[in-house]
Parts: sequence; structure tokens; C-alpha cells
Amino acid sequence: MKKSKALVLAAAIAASALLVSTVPANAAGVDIRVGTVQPMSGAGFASYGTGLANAAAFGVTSVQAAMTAAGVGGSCKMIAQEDSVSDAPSVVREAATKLAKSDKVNFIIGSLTSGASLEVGTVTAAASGVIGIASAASSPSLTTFKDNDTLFRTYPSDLLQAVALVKAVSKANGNSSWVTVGAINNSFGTGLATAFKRAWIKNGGHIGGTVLWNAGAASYDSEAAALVKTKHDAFVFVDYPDSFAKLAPALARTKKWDAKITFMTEAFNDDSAVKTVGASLMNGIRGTSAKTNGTDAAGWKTAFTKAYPKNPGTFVDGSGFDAAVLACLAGISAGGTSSKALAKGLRNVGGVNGGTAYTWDQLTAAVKDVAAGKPVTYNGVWGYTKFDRAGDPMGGAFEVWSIKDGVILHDSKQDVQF
Amino acid sequence: MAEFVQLLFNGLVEGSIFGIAALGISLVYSVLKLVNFAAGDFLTLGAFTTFFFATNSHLPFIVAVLLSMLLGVAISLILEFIIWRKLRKSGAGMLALFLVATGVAFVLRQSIALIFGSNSRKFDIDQIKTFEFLGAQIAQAQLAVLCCASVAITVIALFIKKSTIGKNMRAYSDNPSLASVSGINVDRVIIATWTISGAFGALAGIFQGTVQGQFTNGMGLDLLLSILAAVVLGTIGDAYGALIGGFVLGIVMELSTWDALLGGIPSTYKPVVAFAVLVIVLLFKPEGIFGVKARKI
Repeated sequence: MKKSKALVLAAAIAASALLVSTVPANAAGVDIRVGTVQPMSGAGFASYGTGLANAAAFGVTSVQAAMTAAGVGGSCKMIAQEDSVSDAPSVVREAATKLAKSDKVNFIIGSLTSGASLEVGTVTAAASGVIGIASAASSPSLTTFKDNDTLFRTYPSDLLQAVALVKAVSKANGNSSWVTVGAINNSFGTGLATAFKRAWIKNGGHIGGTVLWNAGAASYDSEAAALVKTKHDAFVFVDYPDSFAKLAPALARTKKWDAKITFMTEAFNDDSAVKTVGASLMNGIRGTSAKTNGTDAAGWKTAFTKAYPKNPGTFVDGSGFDAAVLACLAGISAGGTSSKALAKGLRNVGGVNGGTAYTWDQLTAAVKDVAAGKPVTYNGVWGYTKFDRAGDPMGGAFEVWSIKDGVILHDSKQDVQF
Repeated sequence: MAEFVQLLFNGLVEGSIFGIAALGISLVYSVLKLVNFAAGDFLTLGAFTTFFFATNSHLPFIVAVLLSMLLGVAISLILEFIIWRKLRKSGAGMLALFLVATGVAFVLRQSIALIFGSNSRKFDIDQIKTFEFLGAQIAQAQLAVLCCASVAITVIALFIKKSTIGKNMRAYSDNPSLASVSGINVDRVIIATWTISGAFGALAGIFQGTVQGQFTNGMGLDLLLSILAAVVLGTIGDAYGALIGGFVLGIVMELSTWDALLGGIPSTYKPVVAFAVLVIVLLFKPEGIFGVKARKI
């Protein structure tokens, strides 16, 4: 009798253990609240901001649908989408504070620019249970920012882009050539300019001069004059289309600037940027840009366009989608909503973790595994995102582009993979 | 030499725009004791409406400019009748007027964004064409702006000095009570003030859009601090001083980057130089650079 009782008890324990192992860790159901802050209006960035906001919303609804299909408890919802109006710092700070305090979101996706993303980081660092994920910010200053491990990003750091730029300029002008660096005077511009100069000198090159300019300057003629009087074989400019549209005519007026020896960055890898500056002024300019190295990006784009037919569409939309998917998966993995748990969750689901790899259209299976506590690797649309200790992606891919007669050309032979 | 000529020319062009925009602000302050923080957005309005008339409606550029100036006048007068006149009658103080002006600026800016969208615009004007003068590259578009601005400045200076309404404006700004009892039509003076302010605000925006090549709906706000500095530098409330203050500010900002002046400063610090000059001038001449006593128009 005693033996049979012991057998029953053992069977019960075994059954319980089996039940526990198959029931998702998130069976109790954590409700993940996501918000975005992106420049959806205002000058300069509206097409990028709108695309990233739409992509994040698409990411959240995709994971929610997967959770429902997988029978995983809890939810992942887009609570609010704030417009940062050209990423004005005060507007970003206000919007992020509203998302954190009033809307009580767990994740803030955004903002577009590096300076604005640092504003989000300031809010998340001071808040409790809120993580920021920048989906297009590239400045190295995000890496060193004191954010209490609450600011992540899905877009590669400019420390990597600087190396890609060095390779492109080296190939065109030789390792020891003289380069003059010009940059917009903000964290994106100065961050990438500094990173490039360090990498260029390390590569054996020389810097002819550095000129910074303010975004809202009344005129750009003195900046243009300062740039062209330096010793240079090539120029590297870090800027946005709206301000370069004012600098480029000033450069052309000096009669000493040649677009064909000018290298720029990803903000100009877009048809609207060429239109803003003017095809004739951009003719011959080359540059580097982070590129998607994700899985089935074309298939995702088709699905995204179907869901958001009016989306303006830029090269970086996939990064916004990945940020939202990672946020939701991290929430499920964390099983709680403290900042520490959510940050740990992001590192659990991002990048190569040795678990099963899932893509954007395999989210049901991914959600099931994450909820069951199994390691997964989310191979995103933008790429895989293995977060380092600073919350930066540890890899990235870059392409070299050039503009000829208003058309952007890509040379895949020059792609750089980190 | 070539660099000096280039910087001086650039400074004259920018200074003429500052001066024209500053004139309207100074005039409104001298007559109405109102610091019009919405003035920057009249620049934006002028540039965007000119773009609309010239590009979307395919009107000749000069017609588009005149229509935009008229629109600037119309909006200034509408604001006078629905806001400023009522506030004056209710005895609103400086702080109340300042806050309302700030609110008007926000409404104007957002209305421009709502109507014209958030994308940047540029006039169909060749920005690149230049000719050489003493080694400097003089842009034709910039020279045209400098010439037009000089004509506008001369016309308005003569108008204020010689015309009856100009004399009435000067009298009213000197002593409103005395001017009122001496038979000056105060309403006409105020309407003339807003007319000049609206027209010249729009004109300054058109000039800035022309020399800049590209403009956004934040253009006026970006320039507002420099314009206000020109107003204060040239003695607040002094219309002629505002014009000169604009030129001084534009030239100082550009020449500060000249290598020959102790190596020059990085161009990102140009606005800092402008305000440093303003502070220094005010420390020694609190009334501005023109005379011991504050002149009125």
C-alpha cells in the first residue's frame, strides 16, 4: 500500500514537473506596453519618423497576433505614438516623459536622431521599468551615455560606420591621402566625425581640417569657404539633407568644391534627400550607409506595405520593426516589468544565443519558445541584434552608394560586414 | 583681401535681411510697446506663400513677392483687429502682450505647417551663378537681394522721415498722449505700423529664402534671436537703428571667422560673437549704439 502511495506521489510530481516545463513561463501573462516617439511631422525627418513609427506598430501587432496564435498569456500593445516634430529636444523629452509617466509604457521605441534618442535615454534612466530602444540613432555618444542600462539600439554605432567610411575613402584616394571633415554640430555629426578622424589617422591618412556648422545658421558661406581652403584630396561630410541643401550651393559658389571627391553618410542614401539637395549638386557624391542584412527583408517589405500602404518607406524601416519585436519578446522572456528584467530579456532574445533561430514570419513559434524559457535567436528584418553591455548591436552591415544623374547606385562588392 | 571682400559681402547680405526684419519689430515696439515674438514667423510665411504663388500657381516671381507681402499685411491687420486692439483697450501689460505674441507665433508656425506641409522648399532661382569681384565670388542671387534690400531700406527710411503718416508715427512714438490730443489719427498710425511690419517681415523671409536656397517652416524661428539682437543693438524702438544694427550684426558675424583676425573663430560660434558684441555694446551704451539718449523713430 505504502509502495503504491509512493508510486502515485512520484507520478504526481513527475506530471507536475512535465506540466511546468510545457506551460509557458509567461503563462500568468505579462502585459507589455509599448510607445513610440518619432518625428512624424516637421521639416527634414518626417518620412523617416513616420516609417519607423509605422514599422514599430506593425512589429507590436505581429507579436500580439503570434501570442494569440500560440496561446501565450499576456499581451503586447502599442499604447501611444508621439510625434517629436523634427526631433526637437524639448518635444522629445516631453513626449518620452508622457509615455513613461502617464501612459506607463515599458518600452519607448525611438527617437530617430542621436540627440533625440539621448533625450529618451535621460527619461528612461530616471524612470522605473522603462527601456528605450533607438531604431536609427548611430552616434557613439549613446554607447557611453549613463543610462542605467535602459537605452538600447538596433542600429549600428558610427564607430562601425567610421571604419566602413575609411575603407571607402581609402579605396578611392589611397590610405595616406588628406581628408577634410565637415559635420553638423550635434551629437550625430561630431560623434561620427571624431570616430572617422581617429580611424582615418590610424589607417595612415591625414586630416586637412575639421569644420562644423549649425543646423539653423543664417548663412553657410563662411563654412563653405573654411572647408575649401583646407588641404584635401577628399571631403567627408556628416550632415542631414535639409542643412546640406543650404551648404551645397555655398560650396558650389566657391568654385573650389568637387562633389566627386565628397563622401557622405546614410541620410543621403534616399531619393528624397537627392531631391531636397538637388540632383545636380549631388552628382558624383559617394557615401556609406548601414544596410539591412536581415532575413527575407523583401518579403517583410511586401507585408509591411500591404499593412501600411501610405507608408513613405525608407531604408531603415526594418530597424523599427525589429526594435518593437525585440521589445515584445523581451517582455515575454522577462516575465516581469522591472528595468533590470526587461534589459535582461532584451539580451535573452536578441542576437545569436545558441537557441533556435526565428525570422519575422515565424513569430508564433518564437513566442512559444520564449514563453517556455527556451533560448531563441531572433533573425530580424534589419539584422540580428546581439546587444553588448552598452545596449549596442555587436554587428552590422554597411554598403557603399554613389549618385549619378540623380539616381542612387549601390555597389554590393564594397559591402562591409562586422 | 579676397577673403575679406567675400566675408564683407556675405555680411552685408545677411545684415540687410536682419535689418529689414528688425525694422518691423522696432517699429511695432516704438508705437505699440509690444515685442512681437511672432515676427519670425512672418518671415516663414513670406517665404512659403511666395513659393506657393510662384511654383504652385505659376505666377511671375515678382507678383508672388508682392502678393506675399500683401498677405503679410493682411494677417498683421487681422491680428491687430481681433487681438492687439482688444488687449490694448483692456489695458494688458507687457507680460500679457509678450505671452500672447508667443502664442500667436506658435499658431502661425503650426498653421504654416498644416497648410504647406513640413517639407523644405526652395525657389526656382539659380544659387550657383557667380561673378568674380576683387577675388571674391559674388553670387548673383545674393547681389540681387542686397540691391533690393537697399532700395527697400531707402524707401522706408524716406517714408518715415518725409511722409505725413511717417511723421505722425514718429510723433506718436515720442509722446502718444500729446500726439492723440494734437489731432493725429492714432488708428491710422497703428494700421500703418502693422502694414510696414507685415510687409517687411514677409519681404525679409523671401530674401532669406532666396539667399539660403532652401527653407523650412522653422526658418523664422532660427533667425529670431539674431533679429532681436539687431533690434536691441540699434536701440530698441529706433527704426533707423534697427536697420543699422542688422548690418552691424551681419558683418560682425561673418568677419569673426576671418583668419586675419587672430585666426578667426569656428563658424559655429558666429551667433555667440553676435551676442557678445550685443552685451559689450549694452554695457557701455545701454541705449544701443546710436547716441546717449534713445532715439525714437
